[in-house]
Amino acid sequence: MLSKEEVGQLLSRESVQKALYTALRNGGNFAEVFVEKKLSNSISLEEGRIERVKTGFDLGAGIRVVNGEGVSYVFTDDLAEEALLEAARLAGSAARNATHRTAVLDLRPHRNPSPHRISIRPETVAKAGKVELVMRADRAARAVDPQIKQVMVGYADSVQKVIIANSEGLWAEDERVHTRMAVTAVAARGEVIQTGYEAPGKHMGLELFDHFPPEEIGRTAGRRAVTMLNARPAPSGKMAVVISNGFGGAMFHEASGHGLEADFIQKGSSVFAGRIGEQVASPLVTAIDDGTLVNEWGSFVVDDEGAPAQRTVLIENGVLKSYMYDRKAAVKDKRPSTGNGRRESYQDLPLPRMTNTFIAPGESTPEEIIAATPDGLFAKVLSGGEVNPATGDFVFVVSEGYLIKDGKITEPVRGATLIGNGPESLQKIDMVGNDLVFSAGMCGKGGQSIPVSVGQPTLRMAELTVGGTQRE
Amino acid sequence: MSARLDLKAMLDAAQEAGAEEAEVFFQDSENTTIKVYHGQVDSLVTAKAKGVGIRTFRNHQVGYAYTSDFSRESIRAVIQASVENAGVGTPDEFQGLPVTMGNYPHPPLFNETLAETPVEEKIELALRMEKVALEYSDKVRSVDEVEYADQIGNVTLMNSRGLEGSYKRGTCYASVFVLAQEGDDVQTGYSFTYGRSLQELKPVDAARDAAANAVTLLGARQARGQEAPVVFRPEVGAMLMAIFAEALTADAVQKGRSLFAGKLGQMVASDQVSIIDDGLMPDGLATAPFDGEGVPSRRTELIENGKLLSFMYDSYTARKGKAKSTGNASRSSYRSTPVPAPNNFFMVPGGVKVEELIGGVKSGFYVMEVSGLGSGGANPISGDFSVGATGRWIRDGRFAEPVREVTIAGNLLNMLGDVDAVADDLKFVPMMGAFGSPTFRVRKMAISGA
Repeated sequence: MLSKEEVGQLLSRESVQKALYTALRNGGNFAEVFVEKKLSNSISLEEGRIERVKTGFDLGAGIRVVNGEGVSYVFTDDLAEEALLEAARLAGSAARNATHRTAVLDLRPHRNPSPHRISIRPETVAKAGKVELVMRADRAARAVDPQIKQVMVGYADSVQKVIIANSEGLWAEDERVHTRMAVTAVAARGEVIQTGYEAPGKHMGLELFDHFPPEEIGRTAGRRAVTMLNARPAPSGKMAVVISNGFGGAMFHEASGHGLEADFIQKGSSVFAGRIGEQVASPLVTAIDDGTLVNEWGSFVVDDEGAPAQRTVLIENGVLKSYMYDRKAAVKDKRPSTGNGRRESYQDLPLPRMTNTFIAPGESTPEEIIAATPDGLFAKVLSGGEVNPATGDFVFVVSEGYLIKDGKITEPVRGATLIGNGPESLQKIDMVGNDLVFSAGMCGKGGQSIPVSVGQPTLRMAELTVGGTQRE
Repeated sequence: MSARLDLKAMLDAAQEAGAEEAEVFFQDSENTTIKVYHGQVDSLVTAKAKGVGIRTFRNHQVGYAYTSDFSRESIRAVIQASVENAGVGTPDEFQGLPVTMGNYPHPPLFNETLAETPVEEKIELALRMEKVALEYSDKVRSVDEVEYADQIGNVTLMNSRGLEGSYKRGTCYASVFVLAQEGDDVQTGYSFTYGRSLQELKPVDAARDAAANAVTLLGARQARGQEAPVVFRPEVGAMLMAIFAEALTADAVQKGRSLFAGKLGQMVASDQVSIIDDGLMPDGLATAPFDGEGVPSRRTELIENGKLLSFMYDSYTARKGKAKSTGNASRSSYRSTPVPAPNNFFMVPGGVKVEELIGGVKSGFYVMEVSGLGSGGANPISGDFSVGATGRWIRDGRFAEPVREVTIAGNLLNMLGDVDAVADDLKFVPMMGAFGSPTFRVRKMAISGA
């Protein structure tokens, strides 16, 4: 939470109240002021050298005026009262022809207690200490094998303070603290070059490294690169695919999660539109978006519209239960927001976005799933993917994969791409493991990048198209 | 608004705080973004933004900090942070400010009419695009999004060696995303147009193009897995150029993470392939008089008829590689330190018409969209390449049935070596930079599908 002095430094409540009046002076249904102050630090290493050390100070406010279906948004990086009022006038001028007039309610500051304990705040740790963490990850990755030729380490922390106030009397504050380290290792043998990657991140301070020591992050990346040196090109065709826990959840995120965001639904540009109550997935699948998970990468106390974070069951035993809403989509459907209104910064309009999205654990152990698969692909690590929400078609790249033969994991394969259709592949999930793990990522939509986490236990798709590079 | 910053005073303050050399990068911009939907303005975003970044050097170490807050305390804090950051960087003899400066060219970057265009005209343009796309065919179910955006920005760069440069640049673009439907089958199409003023935009062509892309793909099915010739249209070719550009930066090469490392002077592609980076191209979105550290912009031949001639250098990689900077120190905004990256980067068009290029294919795949390229589908280090693709099958030199849910795979270097025809239809794509490509054909690639 912001201290009283800090709020005072950002903006006084009187200025914000004035800005809201000004924004609605021409009419309109709703006005909102979003204020952000962010301090960020990043360090990058390559070739054993600290290359870039960067500090950023971001400060600004965005004013949104809603008039019927139309939205006008003006942002400014000048928080002086006159600049804020000028932005409010500009945002409100678009509502010239408004028929609707709305009274601005008095702001009622509300403190939502934060469950996210931050033990080692990033701003209390000296730069040299952070540099040392980066060096430790580098050394550990290099020590894995002499075939490791290059290591890149990125470290980033940020403290983002936000205030959201609106014409309905809301005054909410939040502070999001993010810390993350990413290691990429490059291994080479002759002409073959392979990379390995590991990048944990949490809504916490530098205690992150108590859970994920830099050495462990470095070693994991190093091992992955070396393993893949022995990989042969992946085969092509339709086969059973077992997706490992953790970042495997990116598959649900892309293949189905985006299609459950209410803006896509309301435009009819999602394959899940109009299907609430229908069986859209195998009965083994329960999928949840939960912004309340303690210290998780995609968590917050209130979203970027001031709505409290919440847990939303999207799919329960295969039946579609809910979409994810921001304020705009919620008003349209005459229901409350699900706390999924998020934005990258004060320069952006909020959109319905995921938080921590995962498939709930099932009954099988990962060993049972592999043993029950006579022939197929084990996708241990996915490097990312894309989806077209309108068609549900997705593509995923497997950065670490293995062939499964007679119920056993055998040789590694590289260059495998998974391709399929969201709803179709959800129906094909026939085994779900009990080993749910979360993994941090950055999610892009409408040009805005925000932290989200994905989660999944080990699971199996009975059949999926694998596009490999193996030439017959 | 805030009083104008004294950049010279910032340089002095940085030197007082312990920096041996310093550089400030100031940027301000005015932006408008309009989205329309169902004949109405869905959102209108306007803003004036500004920021300053300061790079400091001491003992061959470098540090960076930026701020959008120009209060006296913030400016002091940002200078302090930059100098402090330089203190923890690893000393590197090649770090430092560039030595070549001044004598900047003056490419045309700004058209006064953009600043004078009222917002109503911009809204009108976006609404027209929506209407044209909807009326293209009764198979067009909806226009998911039309976006118009423009930006007018000023950049000023100053350093403690006396460099001072500035320019003003204006660009606008409009894009449209269309949904087509036939029975249960839904397909999407996208297109865009860009320029320095609204008069240069081609909204009607873009709207028709997006609608045609979506309608053409209706009824698409998986193709049979096979090896076949693959034709990339310019929009997809441009995305591939972004991958090759990454591998052609001196930074990637010097650090051994480029598939072109150690291949200077060698044939790395078929003789049909030439690739150029041009920082001065008149209509280029990335055109500027100088790069992100003040080196004059220029045109650099990277690959000529298949032979690798040069990489893209900033002053750091140039010093390290005993070469000259090619003016490729790129900065996406005041938030970024300069890094070697392309300006306007493109494959040089060939002499063949697209129809002839397609006409020469007995059975092959015309790729209209790829997915997964940016998320690991193409590895600029190992050259592994495997992406999802949508498009049309080519049979006996003519377009036949639409194809979806297949992957195309191979190795990036083999792919360049197998380019056997390049058309004359160079087109730039204003996404993630300024990459351009003509339609080109690869002799043979692995396609996996049904």
